Amino acid sequence: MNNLLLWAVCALPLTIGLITFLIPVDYYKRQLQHLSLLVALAHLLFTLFILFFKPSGDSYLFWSGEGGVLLLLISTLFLMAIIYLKNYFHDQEVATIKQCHAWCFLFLGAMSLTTLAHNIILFWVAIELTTLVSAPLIYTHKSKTSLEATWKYIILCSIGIAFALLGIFFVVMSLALIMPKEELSLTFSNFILYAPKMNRLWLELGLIFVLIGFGTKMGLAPMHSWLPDAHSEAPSPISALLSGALLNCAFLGIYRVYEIVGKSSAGAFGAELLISFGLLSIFFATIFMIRQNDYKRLLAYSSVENMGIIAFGTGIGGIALVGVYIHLIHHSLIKSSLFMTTGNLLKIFKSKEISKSGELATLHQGSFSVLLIGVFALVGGPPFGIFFSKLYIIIGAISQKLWWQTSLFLVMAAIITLTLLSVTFKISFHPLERGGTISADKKLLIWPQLFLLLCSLLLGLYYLLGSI
Amino acid sequence: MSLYDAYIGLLSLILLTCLASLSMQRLRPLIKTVALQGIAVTMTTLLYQQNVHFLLPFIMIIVKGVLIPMLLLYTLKKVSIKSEGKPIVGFHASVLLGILFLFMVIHYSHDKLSKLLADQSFSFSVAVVTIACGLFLMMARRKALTQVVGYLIMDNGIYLMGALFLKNIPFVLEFAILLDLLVAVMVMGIILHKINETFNSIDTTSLATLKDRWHE
Amino acid sequence: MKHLFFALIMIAFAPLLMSLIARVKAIFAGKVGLPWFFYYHTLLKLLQKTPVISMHTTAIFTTAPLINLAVMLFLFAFLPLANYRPLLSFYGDIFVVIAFLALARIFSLLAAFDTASSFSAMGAARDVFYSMLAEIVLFTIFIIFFRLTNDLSLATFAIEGKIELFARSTFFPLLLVAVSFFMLLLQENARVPIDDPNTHLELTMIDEVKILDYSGPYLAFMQLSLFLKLLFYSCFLANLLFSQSLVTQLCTIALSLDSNSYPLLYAFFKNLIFIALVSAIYIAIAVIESSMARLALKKIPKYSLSALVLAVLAAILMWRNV
Repeated sequence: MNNLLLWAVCALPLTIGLITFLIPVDYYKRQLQHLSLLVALAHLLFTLFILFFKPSGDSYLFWSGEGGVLLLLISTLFLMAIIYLKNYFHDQEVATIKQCHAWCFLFLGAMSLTTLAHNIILFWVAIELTTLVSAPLIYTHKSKTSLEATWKYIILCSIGIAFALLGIFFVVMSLALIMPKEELSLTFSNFILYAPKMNRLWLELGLIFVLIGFGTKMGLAPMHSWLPDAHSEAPSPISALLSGALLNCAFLGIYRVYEIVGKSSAGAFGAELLISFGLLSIFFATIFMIRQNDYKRLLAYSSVENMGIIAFGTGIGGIALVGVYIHLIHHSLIKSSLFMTTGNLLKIFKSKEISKSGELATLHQGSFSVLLIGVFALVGGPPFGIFFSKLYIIIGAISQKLWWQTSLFLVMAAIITLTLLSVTFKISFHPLERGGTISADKKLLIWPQLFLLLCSLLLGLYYLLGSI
Repeated sequence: MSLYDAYIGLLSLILLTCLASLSMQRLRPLIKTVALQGIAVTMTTLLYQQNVHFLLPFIMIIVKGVLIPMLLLYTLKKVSIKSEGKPIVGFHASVLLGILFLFMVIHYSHDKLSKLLADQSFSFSVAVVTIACGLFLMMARRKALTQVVGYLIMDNGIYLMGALFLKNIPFVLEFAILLDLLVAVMVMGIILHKINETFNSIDTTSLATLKDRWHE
Repeated sequence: MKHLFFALIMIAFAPLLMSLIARVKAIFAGKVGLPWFFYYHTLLKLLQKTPVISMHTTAIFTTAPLINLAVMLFLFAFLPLANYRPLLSFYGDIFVVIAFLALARIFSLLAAFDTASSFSAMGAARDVFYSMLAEIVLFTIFIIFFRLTNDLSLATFAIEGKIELFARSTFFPLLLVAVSFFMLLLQENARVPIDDPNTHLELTMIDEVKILDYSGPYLAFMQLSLFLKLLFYSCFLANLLFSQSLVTQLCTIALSLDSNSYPLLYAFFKNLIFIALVSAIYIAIAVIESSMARLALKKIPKYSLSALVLAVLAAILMWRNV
C-alpha cells in the first residue's frame, strides 16, 4: 500500500503533464492554471505522507533519507514556482502557458523519480529524462539566445549523462565480477550490501566517470559551461527550479556512487577528486562573477560556486558532510527565492544588465527587501542555514588539515561575498536615468520568496537552538 | 564460419562505420551509416549476452536501425541541408586522426591492459574508438545534425562497452535505456527544427553568441 | 617452364579479356557489343599503319611505348600464376616490380610532356598525383603481406600458402585487403570510378590523355601495355583469391580427379579455374563501370583514403592476431 504512494508521487505529475499536452489549446483556459496549483499541492501532500509513513519500497523505487529530503525540497520549490509562474506569465499567450505547465509537470515527475529511484539504471534514465524535459522549458520565450542556450544545454548534458552511464556500467561490472552467475539486482541497497567485496579497480573507474558525467549535470567546473547560459536564458521561475532542484538531483547520483565507493575497499578514493572539482568550480565562479554585468548570470555562477562548495564538503567528509546536507537544502531555498526576485527585477527594469538597473529601494520596496535578505542569506549571513553549512564545512576541512585548500576557499568566498553585496547595493541604491521604461506599478509577487526565506531562517534557528 | 568469425566481422564493421562517419560529407549517408552501426552493435551485444529475452534484439534493431534514422531523415528533409560545408577539422584529417587513435588504443589495450581485459582487448578498443569518434564528431563539425549523429555514435560505443562487460542486465532496463535514447533524439530533432526556423540554417557557428558581458 | 607457357597464354588472352569487359557493359546497355576478337584486329591494323610523329618531339616520344611494352612483358616473369613458381623470384623482388612499373610510368609521363600539348601534360600531372596516393595503399598491402609471410617476394605471397583467403584467422583481414587492392586496381588502371576509358573529353581524362598523340605501331604498343598492366594487377588479385587447397578439394570432390593420377588434367583444370577467376575480376570491373559514374576529380583523394583505411583496418585485424 505504501509503495503505491511512491509510484503515485512520480506518476501523478507525469500523467498530468501528458494530459496537459493532449488538451487542445482552445480548451485550455487560463483558469486551468489554478488546477495545476492543486496538482502541486497534491504532490506536496503525497510527499509528506511518504515522509510520515516511510514505505520500504520495491526494487524500482524506495525511500531513503537523502532522497526524501530532496523530494520534499523539490515539492515545496515546485509549489512556490508554480504560484510565481502564474503571476509572471499573466501577460503571455495561452499556448505558451499550456506548454510551460505541461513541461513543468513532466519535469516534476522526472525529478521525483530521481529522488526515489532504487535501481541505478532507473536513476540514470530519470536524470536523462529531466534533461530532456527541461530543455523546452528553457526555450519558453522563443528567442535566439534562449534557443542557443537550449541547444548547448541539451548537448552538453546529454554527453555528460552518457559518460555517467559508462561509469554506472563500470560500477555494475565491479558487482558482476563477484556474482558472475546470478541475475544481478541493481538496487542501491544491494550495492551497499556487497560494497566491501566489490572489485576495487572497476569501482574506482566507475566513480571517475560518474563524477565527470553527473558533474556536468551538476555544474562542476570545468564542465559547467552550459549552466550560465541555460539558467540565465530560462524564465525566472524555471531558473529557480533548475538551480534549486535539478542540480541537487545530479548531486544525489554522485553522492550515491561515492557512498558505495566509501563502503568498499577503495575507501576514500575520489575524495581528492571531489575536493579539486569543488575548488575549481568556486574558482571559475569567482572569476566570472567579479565584473559580471548580467544579474541572472551572476546568480547562475553563484550556483556553480555553491555546487563547488557541496563537492568540496563531500570530499572532506565527516562533519563537512553534515554541512553539505544543510547547504543542499538552504542553497535551494535561497537561490530559488533569489531567482524569482530576478523575475521581478526583469519586469521592473526590462533589462538583465546590472549597469541598467538601480534605485530598486525606491521603486519596489518588496523586491528590494527580498533581494537584500536573500543575498545576505546566500553569502552566509546568520542565522540563515548557509552560515552553519559553511561553518561545518570549514571545520571539517581544518580538522582534516587541508590548510591551503581552506584558505583558498575562504579567500574566494570573501571575494564572492563582496561581489554579491556590491551588486545588490548597486541595484538597490545606484541612481538611474529613468527613460520612461522603468516603472514599478505592476503586480509583483514577493510572498513565495519570503516564504522560502522564512523556511531557511526557521531551519537556521533550529540548528542554532539545537547546538546550544 | 564460426561465432568467432562473426564476432570479428561485426567488430570490423563497427570500426569501418566509425571511420566512414568521420569522412562523410553528405548527411543522408551519414545517418544511414549510423543506422548500420546501430544494427551491428545490437548483433554484437547479442553475441555477448548470456540469457537474452527474445524480444530485445528486435526492439533494439527497430529503434536503432529504423526509428531513430527515420526521425533524423525527417528532420533533415525539413531542414533541407544536404551536406556539411566546411568542418572545423577537415574530412581527410579526421580519418587520419581516427586511424592514428585506433592504433594507439589497440597498442595500449593490448600491451598495458592485457591483464585486465584478457581476450576482450579488441572489443574494448573498438568501443573506446567508437566513443571517441562520437565525441570528435560533436566537436569538430559545424552542423547541429552532425552533433546529434555524434551523440548517437557515442551512445553506441558506450552501449558496446557495457555489453562487453556486463553479461546479464535485465531486459526492462535495456528497454528503458533505449526508450530514453529515442526520446532524446526526438527532442533534439524538435529543437533542431526550431533552430532552422529561427536561424535559417543549422550551422552551430550562429549559436555561439552568448557570452559574459562585463561592465566597466 | 610451365609458368612461361601459362604466362604466354595469359598475355595472349589480354585483348580477349578487354573485349569481355566491353561485352559485359554492352549487356547492361542492352546491346550486342564488340566482336570478341575486336582488339586483336585493332592491334594488327595499327601495326600496319604508318605512324605520324610530331616534329617537336624527341626520341623519348618514340621509345616510351617500347619501354612500356617491354617492362610489362618482363614483369610477367615475376608474377606467379595459378600457383606456378615464376621464372624470376628472389627476396625483395616486389621492389623490382614497383621500380619497373615506375620506370614505365616515368617514360610515358615524359613522353606526354614531350609533345608540348597542354592536355597531355595536364593528364600526366593528374596521373602522377593519383598514383602517388595509390603508392601508399600498395605499400600498406605489402607490409601486411610481409607480416604474414616474412618474405618480400611475389612468389611467396601466392604460392607458399601463407596467404590463404579461406584460412580461419585471416579471412576478414584478407577480404579487406582484397577489396582495398581492387580499389587500387581501378585507380592504377584508370577504370571507373577514377577515369572513364571511353570518355573523349580531354578536360576530364586522366590516363587516356597521355596517349592522345600516338598513332600506328606506337599506339598499338601503348594499348597493349595498358592491357597487360590491367592483366598484371588482375592476376595479382586472382592469386590472392586463388586457394590451392580449395582447388584441390574442388577437383577431388567434384570431378574425382587426383593430382597424382592425372597430373595433366589436374593442371588443366587448375589453370582453367585461375583464368575463370581473372575473368570474374574483369567482369566485376565491367559491372562497376556500367553501374557507377566516375567520381568528380576532387573526390579521388577520398577514394584513395578509403582504400588506405581498408588496408589499415586489415593490418589492425591481423595485428591483434599476431
